[in-house]
Amino acid sequence: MSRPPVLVVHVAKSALEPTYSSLLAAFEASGITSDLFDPAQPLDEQFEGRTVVVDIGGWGRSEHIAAGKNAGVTLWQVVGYGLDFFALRDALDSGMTIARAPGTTTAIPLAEHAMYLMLAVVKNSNDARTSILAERVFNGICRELAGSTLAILGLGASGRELAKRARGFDMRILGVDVVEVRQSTLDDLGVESCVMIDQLNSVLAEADFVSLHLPLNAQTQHIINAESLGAMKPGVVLINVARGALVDEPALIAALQSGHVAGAGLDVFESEPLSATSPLVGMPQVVLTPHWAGATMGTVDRRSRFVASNARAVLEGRSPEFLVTRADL
Amino acid sequence: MGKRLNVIYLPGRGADPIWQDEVVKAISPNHNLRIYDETLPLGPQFADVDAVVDLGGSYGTREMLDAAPNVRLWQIMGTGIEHFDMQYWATRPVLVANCPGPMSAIALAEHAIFLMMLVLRDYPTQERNLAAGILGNPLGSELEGQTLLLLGFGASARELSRRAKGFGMRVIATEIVDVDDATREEWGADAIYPPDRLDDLIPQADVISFHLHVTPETRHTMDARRIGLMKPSAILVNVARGALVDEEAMIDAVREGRIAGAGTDVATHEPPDPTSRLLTTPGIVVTPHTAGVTSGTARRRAAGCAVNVNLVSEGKEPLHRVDLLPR
Repeated sequence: MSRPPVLVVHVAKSALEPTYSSLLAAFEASGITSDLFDPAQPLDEQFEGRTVVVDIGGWGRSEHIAAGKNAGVTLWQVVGYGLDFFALRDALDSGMTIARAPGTTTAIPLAEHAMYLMLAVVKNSNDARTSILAERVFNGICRELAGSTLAILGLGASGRELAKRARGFDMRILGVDVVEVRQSTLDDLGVESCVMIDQLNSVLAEADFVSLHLPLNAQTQHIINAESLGAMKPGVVLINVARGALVDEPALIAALQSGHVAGAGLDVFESEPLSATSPLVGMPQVVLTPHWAGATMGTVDRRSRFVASNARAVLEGRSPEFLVTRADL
Repeated sequence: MGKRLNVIYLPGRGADPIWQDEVVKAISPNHNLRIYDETLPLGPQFADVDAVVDLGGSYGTREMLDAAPNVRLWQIMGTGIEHFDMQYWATRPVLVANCPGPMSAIALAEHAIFLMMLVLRDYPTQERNLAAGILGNPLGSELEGQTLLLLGFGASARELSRRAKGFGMRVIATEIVDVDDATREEWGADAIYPPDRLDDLIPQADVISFHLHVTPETRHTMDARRIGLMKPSAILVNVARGALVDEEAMIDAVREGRIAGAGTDVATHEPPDPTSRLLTTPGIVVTPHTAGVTSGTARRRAAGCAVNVNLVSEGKEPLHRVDLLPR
């Protein structure tokens, strides 16, 4: 009997679950057999005869990439999206096909988290919690999302899921994107209009809430800066579940301190983890979560199904999807 | 418009100024509005009063009522009246009205979704783990695909139903009054059942949310037996009234892992004691009765109070009388 064609590798035993169980279930449903990498055993021997490496957490360092290449691995599949620790250059040079999980696998939790952050800000979540513990009657006033205007920057997968939810909350929704979005798509989503990113400021001027759903690249880095913050309405609330570097953080902090920006809900930061000495920490109008917008069991299961389907494609001689390229370097 | 009435507003102690601002905006153009000042003698402030607007129905006293021989309308600026001294007010020819549920329904619905996410994604545990250096653990659950059971299909339940639909939830409800299919569909609910079906519906639910008034029949609707019918993965959400659930049974169920958690804006005793089991049970998230406390609620309730003052000034009956309700 030949050995299983898939080898599952991982950053650390502690980071294995629940992803590994979910992967095994998806493999079983696709008729795929696999082995789990054992750090106590010789590296090369374990890669021998494998067609697909499934990498939980983007674990691969140079020596692992080399072992995969020498063993003739076809697909190196990262379970996840971020490649911060992954030996990406070596992997691309190796000639193996490199893939990761698409943004659609996290679109739902990101959209839910963006709604949560908006609600947490308007519900004075920080003050309310402090008041309970201090046995103090909460006399603050909260606001509602209903009737307010939401600007969604980036109508990709998570931006669209957010639009569906915000529409149920009776919000007026304006879009901004780097590509044209079809009118029929906007109609389906309940988005009133969508402008190209060079007209960003016209939309910012109308929005009570601004939520970021753009990929990070040279064009979008610091797209929220002193100038675009200045174009926003006084009293605006900024939501970021995408990437920290979309925002010029010192400029945001200044706008929060001046009160021009009334609140923020942030899951991502320019430097992570966020320093405990950041002025953002302890601001009552700022709700912070540490990059866990996508951390749901649903994400794990959708990623597992995607990975199993990509592995199966390669094993059956078809092309895998969602490849990493030099553009991602 | 009838004649200008003398109206006095009873502001809440320490309440946000928006309540008073909205009352002033809505009533003072057409009537002589006075703000009650507790540092001044009470008698002269009430002697010529035709109508009282009482924030939350919480600030009126028998002494005030006795000092206002001409008062025709006692307008409660709030929904719940179980704390109101109706027995004494019923001995006088004064009409008592409240601000019914629709005026705070949007705020309650938004808060219910907020509580659901707090509990289902287990933000409190994530925060504790973060402090211990563990990131992104435990993994939360998404609202998408879950079944929401609404107890009652009045105004706040309808607003919640539509929002839950946008989150991709399946929505079922119990309601004592018949709801036609067009109304049900308009609000995004999948099915509505009579309340006697509740025991069959509870085991299907991932989230159970309360949208009932407190009456002898609805008190402890979720008692220990019914909590026992819930899925171990299910949660309770309460933006209505603490008395609708047996709080001790709920706490026991969460502590023993028989249900996954609870998010509540209300408690049996408010404010809850900081050392109480309600506030110290992991898996239970509590907010301090803020669900309805929004600028939108203040605006809609002030408008509702003004409508009633105007009606009385025209010699008509006010809307939403609560002095006629069975007690």
